[in-house]
Amino acid sequence: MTNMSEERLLAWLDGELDAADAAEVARAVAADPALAERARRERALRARLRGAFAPVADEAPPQRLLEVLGMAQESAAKPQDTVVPLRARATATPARRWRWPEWTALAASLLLGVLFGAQFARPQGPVRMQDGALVAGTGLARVLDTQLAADARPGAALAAGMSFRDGEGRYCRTFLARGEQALGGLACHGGGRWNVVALGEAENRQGELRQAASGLPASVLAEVDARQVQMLDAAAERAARDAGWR
Amino acid sequence: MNRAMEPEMRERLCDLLPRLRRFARGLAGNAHDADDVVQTALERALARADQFREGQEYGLEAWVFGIVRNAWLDELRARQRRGRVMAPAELGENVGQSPFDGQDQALSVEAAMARLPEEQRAAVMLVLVEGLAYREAAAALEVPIGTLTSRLARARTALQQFLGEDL
Repeated sequence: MTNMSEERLLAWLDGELDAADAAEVARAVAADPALAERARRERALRARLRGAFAPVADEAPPQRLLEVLGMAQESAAKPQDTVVPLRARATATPARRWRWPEWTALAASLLLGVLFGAQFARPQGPVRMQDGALVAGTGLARVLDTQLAADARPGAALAAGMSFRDGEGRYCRTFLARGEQALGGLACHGGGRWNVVALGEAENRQGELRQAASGLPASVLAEVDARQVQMLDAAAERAARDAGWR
Repeated sequence: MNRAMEPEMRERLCDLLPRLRRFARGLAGNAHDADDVVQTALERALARADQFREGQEYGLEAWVFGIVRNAWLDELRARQRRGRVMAPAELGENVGQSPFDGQDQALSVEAAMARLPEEQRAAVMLVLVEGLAYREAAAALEVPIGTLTSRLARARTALQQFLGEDL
């Protein structure tokens, strides 16, 4: 087995490593079946925990908690009804909550993607280094800025995928870039640029862009798992785009 | 409390409410105790909103999750004073009255979580379920990051054992 500390493997799974470190661990995991099995079990554990507790966050909070916040509905037409909508305002609430088991199944079905090579060096490549950080290149940044997931064209060289907010309120988007090598990655918007926080080799099925999540490398899906707090539906995504992802 | 920030704080706490309830459920193991803890925490967060400073070491989430956790610790201490210490066997009995609507999967997760020491359970909930970054979770629990990560590693090993091979 590769000599990898438990701490480092877990930090990778928890999204705590920078892009270069994460790439190194992803490579090691892809090359070592024993490490891959450890990673799989850790992901399965997290998926199981999240799956078990997810229903709690879907419950409407009891009235007494909303009252503390002054958010209880005034028109208590049905006083026995302790279940009220969380908020009256229509904001960017996800139409659909993504469940962890879906992700795990997806992740398991894909090979761990590894690459990181010459593509970085080229100025017109999809990703480049800037101030020591991996960021989206000009073309990719334009796509991430403007393209809604629903508008991604099959077989396009660059396609934006799902969008979500992370724990710090930043908008993050997955993407696919098809060059001589197909890349799948995850970029989070901050400081006026798209910071690439995960990247791997995508499944390159010529002319077949299936749903946005598929084709993404498992390492990228794991990053999505670790970071996503609120998936955006089409309307929320459009609103976020129109607001400049801020 | 600063009147100008009050509406915003209420709004943000309202946004966080589903997650605060989930975190407290993980700590307390049942809906009633969890919502009591959340209620105490919300009251404290509103009363102390002045003390919260945005965006330095960590954000609102870590601050509020920390308040929830401390409210739970206060509840545990109060139970101890009343001589009502939750023994593992007593926690085990809670398994039958699942707050998770009797889903098989959730039952065993709940039982496994109940067997963890409280500090490990809190770390698992914050990082693995709520998705907080290490530094945020460490801030919420008021421990160094190294302490947090070692609690997490121990908890994961234990949970893997409790949940068996079907992971």
